[in-house]
Amino acid sequence: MTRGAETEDLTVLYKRHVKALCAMVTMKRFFVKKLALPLISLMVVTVFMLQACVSFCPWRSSSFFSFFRSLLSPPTLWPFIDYPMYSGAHYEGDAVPRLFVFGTLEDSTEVPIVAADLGLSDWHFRRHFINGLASGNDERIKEFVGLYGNRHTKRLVGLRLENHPVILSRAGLRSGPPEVQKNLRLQPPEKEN
Amino acid sequence: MRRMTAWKTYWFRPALLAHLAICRIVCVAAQLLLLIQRDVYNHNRLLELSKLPESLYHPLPVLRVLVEPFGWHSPLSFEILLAVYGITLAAGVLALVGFKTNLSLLLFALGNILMQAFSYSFGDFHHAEALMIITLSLLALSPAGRVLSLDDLRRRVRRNHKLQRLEIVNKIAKKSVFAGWPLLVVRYLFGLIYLDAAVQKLIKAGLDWMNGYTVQFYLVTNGIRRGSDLALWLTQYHTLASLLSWVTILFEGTFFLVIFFPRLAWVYIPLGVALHAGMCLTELACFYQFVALYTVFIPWVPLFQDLSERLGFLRPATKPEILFDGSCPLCIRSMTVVRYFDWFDRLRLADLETRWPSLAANYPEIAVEDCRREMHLLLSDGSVRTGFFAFRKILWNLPLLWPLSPMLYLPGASTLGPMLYRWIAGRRLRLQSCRVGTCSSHSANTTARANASFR
Repeated sequence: MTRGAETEDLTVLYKRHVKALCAMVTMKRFFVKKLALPLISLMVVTVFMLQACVSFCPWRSSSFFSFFRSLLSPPTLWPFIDYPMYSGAHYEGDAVPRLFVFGTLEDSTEVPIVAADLGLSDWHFRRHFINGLASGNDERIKEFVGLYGNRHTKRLVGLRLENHPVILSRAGLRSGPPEVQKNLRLQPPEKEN
Repeated sequence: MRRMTAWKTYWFRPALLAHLAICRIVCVAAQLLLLIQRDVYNHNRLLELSKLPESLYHPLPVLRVLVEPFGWHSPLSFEILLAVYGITLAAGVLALVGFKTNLSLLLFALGNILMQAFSYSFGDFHHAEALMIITLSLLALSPAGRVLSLDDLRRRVRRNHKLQRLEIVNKIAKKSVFAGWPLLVVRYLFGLIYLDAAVQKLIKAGLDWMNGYTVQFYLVTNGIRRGSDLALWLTQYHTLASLLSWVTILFEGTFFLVIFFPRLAWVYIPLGVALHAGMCLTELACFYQFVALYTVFIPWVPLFQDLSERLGFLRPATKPEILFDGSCPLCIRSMTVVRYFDWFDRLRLADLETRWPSLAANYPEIAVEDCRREMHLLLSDGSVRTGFFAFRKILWNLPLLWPLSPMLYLPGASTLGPMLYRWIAGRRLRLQSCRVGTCSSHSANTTARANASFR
């Protein structure tokens, strides 16, 4: 190939390259000018709608909107959630529960059970274990008793849930009378053949 | 049509890109810190979650969307979670420094969504994280990396390399029609969220919420659960509890005013920080993310400019002057980087060719050939630093690069540093695609002179 022809080929290639680049730049400009604004506007409106819906939805207390309630209630739309924390009122004389769990081992010794004994966060401990124990959810109790057995290689034969409440007063706190909320004898696990 | 114009004018008014970039840096840094530091977000938490019974796992819809296409219907294994955690951290670091900013921000947001949604899928719900997750996702779709980022620095270096000269652009003053909307959205979300919290309290409890006992109750509950003695101590003061509840309701119920009257931010933001700090100290209910996100309300650029004026005494009357070879691409690149990080305008950059005639008389001890061979820094006291030592001194004037300084003072650095500097300076030809003939380091005479001096 002669040097002249080679230069000509390069010129053609260069022109094509420039054309392709120009087309890309035009497309980008078109996108920015024509599409970006409507798309972002749509997104802004959607974000507001979602947050407003979960925050101030009229179907929260209405049975008429039950379909929307299940579809749009938090946490279905997480990270769009409502913020109802700490919203209930409390008065002088109200009791603040203090719940303690005690387990009975096979040798009749009694041990306190806390979240760390089950490798749980405080939240999971209260929500799943204590609530399960208080409501007598056998399946859940069995799971956590198994978890305790695996972690401590000791078998629990009984569980007791105690409440040692404190009472609110203008001057501060005073202790309320303790009460046993649940006392359970656990069935030994069925032996596998 | 008029409404459309008003909408466009409001949401797409040209805004400073630097403000958006600072928000990116603050939000990503805060979230990264939480991911590394706090046990409720880091790998220990993931390990704890992966050991929970499968019966407790009820995946959120967003988690299903993210993981079910991969065929993962049961809880993710710890190994997968750890990989996600690692990728998220790496993406966070890249987003922080602004490398491939949109992609890294997107990965960072997705990683956080996945880990948080996984945590929530076991029923452990909190409120502090959601707004940060939404903000990170919005930032990923915005030009948050257009300034104050490695992407921007690379763009400027390429541009100056192409122009073959040092072009100085004011990165702080750059505006874009796409720079304002993400911050506005987050401000509105803040308004909605606080209003929601206030409205729910007033609907459920009415004015009784401010009776003092309510706040006492929550202080005791969290104090007992989380072991906070400070919370239990505070419950003795009923009047204080009542006052706090009024402040909380007023703050939450009127926070949206900041959106329409931005000057109110100077009242509401410190108050918000104080309230969240109080909650964190007493009830151990920490909304770190909210405090970091307050950054969207702070007019960073005017504040920075004002601070820069006030701290003018930190700026020397006579700035140190860097002499660089303006026809050498490597020097132009280096000076672009120096200029980029010189936020406090503490250095003067001078092209050797144009500056030399006026300089020669004042510095008879300097030879122009030496200046071509290695960078020279003229200090305000009349002394001169060259090569590696000039570079070390320059770093002292760039606060953003101070973290690199200790490396240059390690034992042996004063011996090895100059050797490395000369090695690089002597190989500018191989390291850079200079237009031979224009760069002084490539001209035959200079190369010969340089070689002679190294012998």
